[in-house]
Amino acid sequence: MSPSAEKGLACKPNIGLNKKISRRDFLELSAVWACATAWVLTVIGLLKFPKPALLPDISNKFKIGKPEDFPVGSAKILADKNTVIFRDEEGLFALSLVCTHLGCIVSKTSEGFSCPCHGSKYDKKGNVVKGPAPRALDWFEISQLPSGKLVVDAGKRVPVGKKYTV
Amino acid sequence: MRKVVLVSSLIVVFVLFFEAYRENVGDEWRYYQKRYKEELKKLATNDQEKQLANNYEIKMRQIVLPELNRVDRCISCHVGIEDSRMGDAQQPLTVHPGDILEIHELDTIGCTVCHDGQGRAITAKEAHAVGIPYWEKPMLFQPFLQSNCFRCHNMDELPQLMKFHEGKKIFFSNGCLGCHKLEGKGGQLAPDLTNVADANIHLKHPVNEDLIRQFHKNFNIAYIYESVKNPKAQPEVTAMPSFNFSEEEVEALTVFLKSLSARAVPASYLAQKRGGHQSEDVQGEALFRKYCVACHGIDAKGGVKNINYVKRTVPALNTLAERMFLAEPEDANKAAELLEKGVDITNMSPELDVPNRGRFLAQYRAIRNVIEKGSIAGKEDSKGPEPLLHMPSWAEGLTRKDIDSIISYLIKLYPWGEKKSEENNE
Amino acid sequence: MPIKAIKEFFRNFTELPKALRQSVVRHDKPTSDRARSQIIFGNIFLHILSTRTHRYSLKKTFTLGLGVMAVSSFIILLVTGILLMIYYKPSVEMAYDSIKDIHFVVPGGRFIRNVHRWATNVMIVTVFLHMARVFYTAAYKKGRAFNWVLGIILLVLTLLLGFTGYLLPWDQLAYWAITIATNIAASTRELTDVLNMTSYCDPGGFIKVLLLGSEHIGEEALIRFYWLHCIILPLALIVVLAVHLWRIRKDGGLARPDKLTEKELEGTPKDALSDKVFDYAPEKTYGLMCLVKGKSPAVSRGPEQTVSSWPHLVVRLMAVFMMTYAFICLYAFFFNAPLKELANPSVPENPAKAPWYFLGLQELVSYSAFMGGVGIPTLALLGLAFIPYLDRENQEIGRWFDSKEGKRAALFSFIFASLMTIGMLALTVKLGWLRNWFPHIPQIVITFINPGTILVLAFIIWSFYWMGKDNSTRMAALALFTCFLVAFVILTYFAIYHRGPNWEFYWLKSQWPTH
Repeated sequence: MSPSAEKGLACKPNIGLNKKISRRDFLELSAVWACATAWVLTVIGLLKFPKPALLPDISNKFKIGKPEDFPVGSAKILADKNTVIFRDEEGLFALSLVCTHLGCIVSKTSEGFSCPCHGSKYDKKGNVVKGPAPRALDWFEISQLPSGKLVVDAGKRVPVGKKYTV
Repeated sequence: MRKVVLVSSLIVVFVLFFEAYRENVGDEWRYYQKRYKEELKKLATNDQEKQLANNYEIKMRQIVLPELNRVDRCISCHVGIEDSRMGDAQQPLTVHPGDILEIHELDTIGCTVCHDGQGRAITAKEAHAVGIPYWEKPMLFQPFLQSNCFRCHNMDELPQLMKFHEGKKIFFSNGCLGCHKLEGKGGQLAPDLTNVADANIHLKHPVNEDLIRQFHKNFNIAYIYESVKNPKAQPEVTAMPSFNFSEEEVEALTVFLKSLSARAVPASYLAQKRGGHQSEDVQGEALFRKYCVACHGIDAKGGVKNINYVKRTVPALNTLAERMFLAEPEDANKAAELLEKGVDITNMSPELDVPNRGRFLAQYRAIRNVIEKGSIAGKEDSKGPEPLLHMPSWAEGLTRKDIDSIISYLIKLYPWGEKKSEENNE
Repeated sequence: MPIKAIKEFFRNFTELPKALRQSVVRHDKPTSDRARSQIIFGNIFLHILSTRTHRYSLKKTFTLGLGVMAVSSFIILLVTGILLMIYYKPSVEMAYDSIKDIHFVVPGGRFIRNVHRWATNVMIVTVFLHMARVFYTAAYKKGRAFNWVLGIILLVLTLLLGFTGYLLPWDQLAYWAITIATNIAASTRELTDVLNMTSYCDPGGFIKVLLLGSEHIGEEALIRFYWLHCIILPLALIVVLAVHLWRIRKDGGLARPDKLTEKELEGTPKDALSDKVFDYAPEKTYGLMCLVKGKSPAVSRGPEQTVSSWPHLVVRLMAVFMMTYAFICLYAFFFNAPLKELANPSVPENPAKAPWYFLGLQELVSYSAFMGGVGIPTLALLGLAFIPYLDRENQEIGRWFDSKEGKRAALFSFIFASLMTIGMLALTVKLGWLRNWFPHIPQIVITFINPGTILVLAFIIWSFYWMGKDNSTRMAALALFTCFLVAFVILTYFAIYHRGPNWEFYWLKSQWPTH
């Protein structure tokens, strides 16, 4: 039986329990580790630097008006925001008009949407029916201010089909 | 040596940890947003709202305003600014008072264009910039919030800004423009006030320390207030008389003066047709009050001291009728009416039916000359200092019609009643 | 089944981390002296160091680690500076706001900007102190003359880097400091005007337009200063620094006395080979690497009084670097780099002060723009550069102040210069200068007779006195250098703390008239 097995241990312990680490070596080790830690923390800090907490872009959130402005069955295109707002019996939903293939702006058709660049076609809910687009058009989160105004957040996606009930 | 490495490395590690804590855990705005998130969860009335509350992101927020060249980060702490349910909340979570935000869309106007302050800052102390000497426009407080409306609005369309309008009225009826210029019109003896609200806080700094405290270390407001309330504070040898305004009047005037700032918004932001502060006045009395009253006194009674001036005080002008040889009130009125109508009386018009017509006209010409060309104040003691006040030339600021209106007003000011009783007493 | 390959593959896969480490660091922990030499020798960064270092070079009280501190702060400046370039925008409309954004919304922005600013001060101070150390230990002799000149060039480059960086925030401090500085550059007009030369020979005006790219300070100036600060000057500094360090190797290491006692080597590390004297031909030799001037280890003699650079030199470099870094970190955490209001060309700062390291100059400039800004600095730099050529006395180098006599010369010069400088300052503060007494005196007289020129003259006479007294050029150099150093420090301190609005004298800042 190996000495460690006699003691009831599964494997040899790494630390020599009888061997005391000398004060000098301990100092050496801790100096090296402290220095390394300082450098690692420095590098982490330096790596965090290039991404600012706030990007200098205009906010992704924009107000679109009150629910009364969107009667049931309506579809309103907000061209400057590349977004279309729909309302049906279930609620409001906002679709992005940016093609998920390579970013061209899709146009609204009677069956849904169609992209002029590479021919991607989407249905009325934004699901891909044809073409190179890899996924459905983004659905944006809609929320409402307590004052009643509706807010679309083009920076937040919600699952396809999730409507905002007024 | 290893000890040195160890100790220095540990110092670096600790400093970096503290800095990381400061930036990621200990920020002011983080704390307020967490509180707001709790409020949102509490106030959620249905599942949809609950989900939105849970998804509420704790992150720095800003309003980017490229056309105004501003970035306002006030909403990082003032997160409830558009949330009408936060009426009773504690600052900074309170909702914006009134319905201002209904008319002024936050995303296109931001905050600092109305409130001043350092929009890019991310802590209350630096954003409000109270007493921070390197930020010249600290956050305003009432009633001075009325002053900034001028940036975009034609103030005549906003009669509800009462302090402002009161101040404006005081300004235009106390002859301030007799010495000061505003938007190109006015006198030359004193500094141009067109941009007094932008005055550099190091050059134009109040002397009275209490005022600085009273106005929350807004040096510009304190300076303007001091100049109006106590002109002799600086410089001591000023020609500006003390007007003995009441506290409310001084405050109103300060609100008006604080609006005199270079308009720095692009045309798309202007609310209605741009107007300046000056309106076109033609009436003699209004003109007199605008330009002359500070030196020649209310009702042209004179009396303002002019040191080392041979006549000691600025002359009264309400005795013009007598000077112009108009012995009777009817003659005076006739002459005044003619001048009001804009008739050129110098070509001996037969309508000028007054006795002593020749001498009257000579006086009229002399008076007009003084107004148009100005006049140096004679020294009482020739070796003494130059009198601070003299009559400036108004040929460029006032038209012939303006001058005639003023003379007409002054003629009518003659205190006939008093003179009659004086004569009777003799 | 390809058993062997599969087994090998799995073994390689599990040993990947170790193999990776071993391919980068191709040796184990060194257990022999040769192994230690190889660590230094085989590493691109470390091999600028010699494999063995003389014990005296590691003596704390000899070098005080000042050169290493300067290089450490330079490295910190490079790293932080390169990062700051991600956000800083060198445009008159955007510079100020970009710095505000760095301070408020960039992760670590406040800290990194502060580090950059305070590391500048550390670098400038350590560079000056390092120059003083090299001078006082006569380490410009024994073939090290040109390295001294390179050091002076590095000093100028360091100051220029600080100066060009100062403009970039485009705040009131920056704008008005540069206004003064560029007008100092144009101050040769003080001379050319008197000689009626200005219309066809105006070097001052030429330099000013070259610096500003325009007659006025604006976008052109900002771009040029940015270009100088980020590309030209750092490149120049790195190249000159490389030559400077290379030359130390070729000189045989840092300056040291020929004869050293064990007491003088107290406190320095020692290893097995330090005292060894070989008396047999070694079996293995290294190939001839280079010829080193001066006293180098000769064949059949041991590497006397040297220690292996690994770990002794390397750990000291690391220690000084971390000390410098720690100091800067502490400072950066507690104190923000200054940023005043946005630059406003119509509202001058009062007082408008140059960066602190130029304030001594600014004090002299207040007497005469040309003398204080161009004349005396040029004279001082040339004087400094020529020291090793004017003093070629043979002596033992590597000892502070050389000897008792040297200490005396320095001490007396310190006292003399302090008294003269403070005296001149007191005189001008209390009584004014020529123009106060003779209002119509032509400017050219003041250009040549002013407190600055008088001090320079006094110091030169003083140093010649010492030269005659001890019949030694080194004594003269000690006297002169000490006088200039002391005057520089006193003038800088005076202009920082005792000059207020309108460059009037004040005892305390609290006494400055508020407005």
